[in-house]
Amino acid sequence: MGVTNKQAPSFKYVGKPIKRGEAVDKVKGQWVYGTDLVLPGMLYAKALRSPYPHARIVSIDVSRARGLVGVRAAITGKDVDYMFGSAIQDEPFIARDKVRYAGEPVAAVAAISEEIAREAIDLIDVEYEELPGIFDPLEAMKEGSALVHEDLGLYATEPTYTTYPGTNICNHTKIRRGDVEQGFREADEVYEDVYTTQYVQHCPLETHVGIAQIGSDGAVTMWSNSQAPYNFVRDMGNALGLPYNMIRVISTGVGGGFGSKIYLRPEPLAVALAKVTDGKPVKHAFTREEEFTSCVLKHPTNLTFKTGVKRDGTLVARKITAIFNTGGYADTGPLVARNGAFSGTGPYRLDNIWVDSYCVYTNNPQGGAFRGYGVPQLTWAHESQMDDIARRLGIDPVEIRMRNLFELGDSTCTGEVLRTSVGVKETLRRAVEVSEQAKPLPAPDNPNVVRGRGLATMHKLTYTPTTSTAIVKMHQDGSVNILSSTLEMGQGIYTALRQMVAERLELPLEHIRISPPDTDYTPYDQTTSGSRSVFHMGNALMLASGHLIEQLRELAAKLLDCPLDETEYREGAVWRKEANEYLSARAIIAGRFGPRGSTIQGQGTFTPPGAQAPDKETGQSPKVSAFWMYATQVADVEVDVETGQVKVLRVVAAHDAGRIINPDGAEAQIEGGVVQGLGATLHEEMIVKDGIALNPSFAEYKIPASMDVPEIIPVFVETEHDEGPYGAKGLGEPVLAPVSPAIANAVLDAVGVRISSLPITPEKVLRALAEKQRAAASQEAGT
Amino acid sequence: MNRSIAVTVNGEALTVDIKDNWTLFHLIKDTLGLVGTKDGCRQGVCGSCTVLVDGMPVRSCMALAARCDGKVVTTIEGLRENGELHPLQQAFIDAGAVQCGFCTPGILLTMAAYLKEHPSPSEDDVREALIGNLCRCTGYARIIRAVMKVSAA
Repeated sequence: MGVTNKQAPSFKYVGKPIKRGEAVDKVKGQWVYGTDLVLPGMLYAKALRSPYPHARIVSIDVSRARGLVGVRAAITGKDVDYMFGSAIQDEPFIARDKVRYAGEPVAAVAAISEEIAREAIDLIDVEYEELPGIFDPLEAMKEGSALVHEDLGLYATEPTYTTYPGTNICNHTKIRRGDVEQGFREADEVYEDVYTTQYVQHCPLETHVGIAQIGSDGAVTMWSNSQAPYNFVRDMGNALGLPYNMIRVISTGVGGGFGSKIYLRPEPLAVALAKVTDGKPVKHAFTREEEFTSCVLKHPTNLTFKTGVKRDGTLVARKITAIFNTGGYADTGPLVARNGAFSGTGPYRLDNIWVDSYCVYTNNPQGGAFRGYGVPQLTWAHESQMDDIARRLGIDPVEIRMRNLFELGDSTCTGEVLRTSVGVKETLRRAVEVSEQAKPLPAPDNPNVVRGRGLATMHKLTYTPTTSTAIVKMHQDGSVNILSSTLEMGQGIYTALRQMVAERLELPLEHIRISPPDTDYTPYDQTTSGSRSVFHMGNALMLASGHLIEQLRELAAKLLDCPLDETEYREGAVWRKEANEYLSARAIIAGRFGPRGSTIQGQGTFTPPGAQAPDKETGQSPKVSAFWMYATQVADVEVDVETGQVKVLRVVAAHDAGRIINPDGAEAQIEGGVVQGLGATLHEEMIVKDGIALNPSFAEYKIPASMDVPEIIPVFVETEHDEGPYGAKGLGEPVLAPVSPAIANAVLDAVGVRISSLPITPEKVLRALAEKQRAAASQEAGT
Repeated sequence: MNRSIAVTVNGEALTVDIKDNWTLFHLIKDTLGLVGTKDGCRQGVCGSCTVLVDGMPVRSCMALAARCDGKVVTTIEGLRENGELHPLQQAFIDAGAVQCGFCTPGILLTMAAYLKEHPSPSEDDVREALIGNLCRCTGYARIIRAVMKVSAA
C-alpha cells in the first residue's frame, strides 16, 4: 500500500482510486490491439533484413519471390523513393544504396498469408559488399572517421538540433552557464568520473504493428498501435510529401509502449507495399526478434562527469560530456540527447555549468526514446557521482543532497527559475523516513550476504512547448464523449482524463466516455509520452469543459430570459442564481435545437504559457519545461560476496508528481516502473558485437519475472503545480530513472565497490571485489 | 497435409479442417477468430498465448493444432461462466492488476488452472506459479494480490 502525505480536498473524483474503465474489456479478451486487427482483403508484409551492419547493396533480385503463388508484391529500395525521420529525415523506407545497421530492411513482400510472405522472403537474392563498420561512438566522433551518413546536412532537419555534416554527430546540445573553469578553481576538490549504460529494449508485450491502405485519391490510412498518432500524420505526410489531411491514423489498443511506439517503425514498409497493392490493406507486424534488432532501444551512453565541490559538499561547478550511441539512423536520438542534457546536472543548485551532449551515428541498432528520454542515463551518472563524492568527502549521502537540492526560487541548469511545485527535498525526507519506519527486513539466511542501503534523487523535464487539443462533446441527453488523441497504453490515462472531466463538469463518471483516437476525428495531441498527458491533455480538457459550460450558460440565459451573469452551471444543469429555477442540459439543448436536439462541443487547446526554446549556444531559456517532476528512491539490497549476486529487497519510491489524480493508478505506475528499472539495473542488456545483436529474444534477453520482484512502497509528495489541472504534473517516466543509481549506491554501501557501468552483473561485482581486495593488500604491503 | 480434427473450444464441439503445420494459436486466432489470445513472442517464452487444453495451461504458439484432436480447449473467451466474470477476472479489475492488458488473458488462464489444483496457495506459491508469464507493465504485485484474494475467498 502506498503512503501519501496529504488528504485531497473535497473532490468527488480527483484524487480517488477509481478502477480503470477499460479493464473489463481487457480481462474478457475483448480489447482489440493492433496485432488482433484483420481487415477485408488484408495482405501480410514481411521484410528481408540485412545481416550486415554496414554494406553496399550490389544487387537484389526479387523475381523468384514475385513468382510465388499468393505473393502480391515484392519491392526493394529502388521502388520507393521516400525518406522518413522525426528529427532528421535520414532513413529510407527500404535501404537503397547501402545498409547502416544489421536488421535494416532491404526488400519486402506482401502476400495473402503470413506463411507465404515468410516463404517469399527466402526467395530473394541479395549481393552485398561489406563495408568496415563504425561501432564505437567515441571513435565515430573523431575527425576523419568513416561516415555512416555521407549526406547529413542535405537531410531535412528540425531546427531544434545542431548537426555537423561531414561527421557522425547528428546533434550537439550545449549548456553554458557561469564560468565552469573558474568554478573548478574555486572548488576544494574536483572529481572526474565516467559512467556508462547499456542497450535496453522496451519489450512491450505487444510488438509493433502497422497496417496501411492507400485510397484511390492517394490518401493514406494507417491502423497503428502507436503512442502518437499525430506524429505519424506529420512524419508520414512529410515523407510522402502529402498534405496532412491525406494521412489518417486510426489507433488500436496498445500493448505497452514505454517510448518505443512514438515514431514510425513498421509503417513505412507497410505504406510502400500498400502503394503497389491496389487499395488492399497491408499489415506489417514485427516479430519479437525484430523488436530487438530493427526497432529502437534505450541508447547506450558514455557519461563523463567532472564536478567541483567545497569540502562541506556544496557543488560549485560541473562539466558533463554525454555521448549517446544512436546507431544507423537518428530516429528521436537527437531529442533524447537534448532532454538528457537538460536534466544532466541533477536537481541541484549549481552556478557554473558546461554540458556537451552528443548524439552519434554508428552502425549499431538504433537508439530511441525510452521512458525518460535520456534522463535515466544522466540520472545514473549524477546520482552515482553524488555518492562517490559523499564517500570521498566523508559526508552522509542524504546530507550532501540536502545541502544542494533545489528549493523554490532556485534555477535549473537551463536558467529556468523554479516558481512552483518544487517538492524534491520533501521526496528525499519522506523516502528516507518511510524506509526507516518500514518493518525490519528478515535477517539474511546466507552468511555470505552483506546488506546495504542506497538512494537516488532526480528531476525530469518534459519536452516543451507541446500542445494538446481536446473536444468535450455533449449529447442531447447530457452524456459526454471526450475526443482526444491521447493513447491508453496501460498507464491509466483514460481513467485519469475521465476523472478530471467528471470533476469539472460535476457529472457522474459513468456519463463520461473516451475512445481510442482517430486523427480524422480527434483533434491534435503531440504525443502520449514525456509524462505529459495528465498536465497537457488535462488542461486542454479543463478548457474544453469550460467552453462547454459557457455555451450551456449562454443558451440557458436566453431560454430563461435572464442576463448571463445571473446563471450558474452546477451538476449538468444551468441555474438561475437566487431563484429556484434551472434547466438541465437536455432541456437547454432541446430548447435551442428542438426535440431531436444536437450535440454541443466544448473545445480547448493548451500550450504551456511562457515556454521558450533554449538558446542553441547556451541552452538557456526562461522556461524549458512545462513542469518539473521530482523523485527520491531508497533501495535496500543484499550482495552475495561469494557469487557477486545482487538482490533487491525493498524499494521506497517517493515522487513529487503534483496532485495525484488517481492514487491507485499512480501506485501501479510506480510498481511497474520500478520493476522495469530493476531489470535494466541487474540483468537486461542487449549485447551487440560488431553491430550484431547476440541475444534478440525473450529466451536470451531476460526481463523481470514474478520471482525477481522486491517489496515496493510508493510514496507521494503532492506539491501542487500552479498551472497543472487540479495541481497535477506527471509521473510515468521518473519512476524508472532513480532505480539504477539507488541500487548501485546500495551496493557501494554494502560492499564498498562502485559499479559504474550498467547492468550490475555478478561478474562485475566479483571483479570489483577482487580489485578492492588487491588494492587493500598492496596498500598493506606498502605500509 | 490437411486433416480434420474434433476439438471442443469453449464448450462448443467443433470439427475443423487444419493443416499439419498449424499451431494451436493459428487455429484459435486466425481460423476461429478468437482474438483474446495474444502473441507476445511466438517462441513459447512470454506466456501471453497461454490457453487451457484439457484444463492444463499450454503455450498455443508452440502447440500443434493437430495434437488437439479430441481435446477440450479453453481460451479467455471461455473463462466466463454463464456470462458472469470468473472471480479472477473480477479480482484483476478490482486490484488494478491490469495495465496494458496484453499479458492478462494468458495470466488469467494460467492462474485459473493453478487455483483449481491449489485452492489455498501461499503468496510465494503464486509468485512461483506465475513465473512463466511475463508482464512489462505492472511489476506483478497487483496480479499476485488479485490471485491471493480469490484463493482466500
